[in-house]
Amino acid sequence: MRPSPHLCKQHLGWHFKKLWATQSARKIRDAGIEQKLLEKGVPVVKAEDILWEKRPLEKIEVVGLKPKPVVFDHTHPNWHDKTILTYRDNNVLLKGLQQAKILTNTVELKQGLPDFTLKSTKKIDRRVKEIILTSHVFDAEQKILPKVKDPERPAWNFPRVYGITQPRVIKLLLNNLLQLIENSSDLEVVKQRYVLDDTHFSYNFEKSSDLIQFELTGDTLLTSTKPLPAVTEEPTESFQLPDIHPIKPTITLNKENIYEVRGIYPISLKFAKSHPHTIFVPHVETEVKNLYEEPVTEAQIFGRSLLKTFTVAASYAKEKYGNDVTVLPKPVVVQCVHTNGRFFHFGIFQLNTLDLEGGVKNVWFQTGRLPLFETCCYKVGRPVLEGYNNEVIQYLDAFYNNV
Amino acid sequence: MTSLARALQKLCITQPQIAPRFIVSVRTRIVTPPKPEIGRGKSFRRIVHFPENYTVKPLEVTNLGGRDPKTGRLAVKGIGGGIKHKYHWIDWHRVGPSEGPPQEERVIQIIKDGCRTAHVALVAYGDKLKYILATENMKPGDIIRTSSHIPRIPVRPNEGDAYPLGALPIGTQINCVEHTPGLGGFLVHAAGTFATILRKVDNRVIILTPSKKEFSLLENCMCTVGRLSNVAHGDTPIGSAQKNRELGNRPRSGLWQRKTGRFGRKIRKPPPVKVFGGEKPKEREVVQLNFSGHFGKHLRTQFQY
Repeated sequence: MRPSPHLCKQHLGWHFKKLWATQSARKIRDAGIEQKLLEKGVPVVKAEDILWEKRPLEKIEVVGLKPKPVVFDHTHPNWHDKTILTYRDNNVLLKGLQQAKILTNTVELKQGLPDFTLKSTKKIDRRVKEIILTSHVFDAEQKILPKVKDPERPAWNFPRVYGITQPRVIKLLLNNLLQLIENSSDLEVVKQRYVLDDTHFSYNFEKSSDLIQFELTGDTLLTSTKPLPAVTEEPTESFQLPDIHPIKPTITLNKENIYEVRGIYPISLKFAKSHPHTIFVPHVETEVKNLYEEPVTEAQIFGRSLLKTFTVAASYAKEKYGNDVTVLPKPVVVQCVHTNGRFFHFGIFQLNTLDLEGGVKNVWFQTGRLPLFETCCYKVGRPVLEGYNNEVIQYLDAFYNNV
Repeated sequence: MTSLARALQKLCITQPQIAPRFIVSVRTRIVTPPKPEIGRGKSFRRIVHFPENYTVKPLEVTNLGGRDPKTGRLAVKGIGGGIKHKYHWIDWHRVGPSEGPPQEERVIQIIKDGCRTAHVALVAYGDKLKYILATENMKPGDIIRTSSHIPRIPVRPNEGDAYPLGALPIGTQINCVEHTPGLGGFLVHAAGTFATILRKVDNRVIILTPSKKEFSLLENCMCTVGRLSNVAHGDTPIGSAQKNRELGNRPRSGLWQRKTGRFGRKIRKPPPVKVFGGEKPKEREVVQLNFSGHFGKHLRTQFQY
């Protein structure tokens, strides 16, 4: 068969186009000429730099545009070259209570609280159960709650739950329980007490040449006309601080360069009821998190309550005795109630000294995490409270009435 | 000569005249369709959004679904969907002192990572936190040591410690091996895998990787001692099609064709020992040339004769 001219026809342009697609990217082999010339001291410049003149961009300041957003770098007015290590509301320390003890120069003389007489609270138990149901179940707030996830079935999406958010649960619970205790306590004691909400504390210090600042915002504080007496007179020099080698005690404190060093105690000491008595620390599980997003451990929760109580006591001591005091003439005692709405944790902190590298140490007593109840929810359409534990209200009552 | 000189005098350096651009038909323009770069150790499963500085915070991830991020075209079939896992940024460099006692670090927690088969260990030393690949028997509270000193007598290492290849005895099981000193742990990352030190020659150490290939590496390449965690991973079947979809694998078909001769056990002679050099070859500069005209049907139209 004779091939006709048409069969031999090829569109050369398309062949070249296809070839050009790969051939247009030329890899330049480095013959080493530039290096050899530079070794001999001959300056080597790019052709474009000589041929094309470089026009600098003219900066035009236009009046009337919106102001520039604040840049958080060395131009910020609060920039300092020295880094500060801060501990704020929602941080937790890596090593929890052990690390907090080293930071605040604290020891635990014994497990549990010092000798406490717990009164029977049969009369108010019924009312406490009502309060629990009100704050966990009956309140009218209907907000979308965090997603429920089953680690064993990671792909399953549970239906979204609406209900009362945890900050509100804690707020309602604490407010109502405090009110109940006030109503059932002796009038003379109640007259001495004062409740403050949204109190801010800030205490800064230097430890092994690191500048550290603890800040507390928005917690409930119970104050009193008289400061709490010292819990223990035992000398603390012989007790050892825990050892967390090879970890430094400043791990997981935030490093910041833009900061303001402040020492804040929210109440003026001229006010009669300015002495700190008890601090109520809320633990909102969606906000209090580790940087590495693993669940917060019990030790970390204990460490958080110790640091918060220390901040309150230390800022008060600084306000009362001045900036340069080391061993306090009279120890400052602050009580702590730490809750997440269900679990309660009670602690008592005695601040003996503000010198956190010295021999005299501060003292911390604490209970474990006590559950207020087992379950409190709607079951088959009915509100149910199971496993009520009356220890918690006994401790709360004892703490309130502690003089 | 003088005419040449005079001609050259008239020359001056000016900005080149840029030819005015007219709107032309795009049909004949050279538009090279970009192709995704497949192979070369690049995966098309996910992009991790790395911040500037190393952090222990789990990083956000964008799933690619088998697409090339540059061109947007499908590069690999069978990838897509699945549960999105945050990426734990592993610090591959195990840096230790070259003299004196080894650097000690404490293991805080062992974490299951959705982006890899091995488990990840959160490790703390000084005031820093980092992630490393967890070895088989690592548990929270362990102390692991790192040293880059090569002594005359090999060290007797514990699992999880990091030493240079030259410091370890022959027969040691290792993982996260650097193939170039200073690169960071590169070889052997999968669950339950390990490389073995076979022999030492001059200043090089020959290791046997899990794929039965032998590599000759410089003796000051760092490696971690022990077998990687999650050893049971290799023996656990996926279980169901749904589980496979949760892992991010789309349905696959036509993968295994009996008669083509491509599948089945291969019997080959073992390849020679691959020698990893000390220096990486320099990348050659690539200049992209442009042709704004069009290629004609035949030479007559192209050159207009």
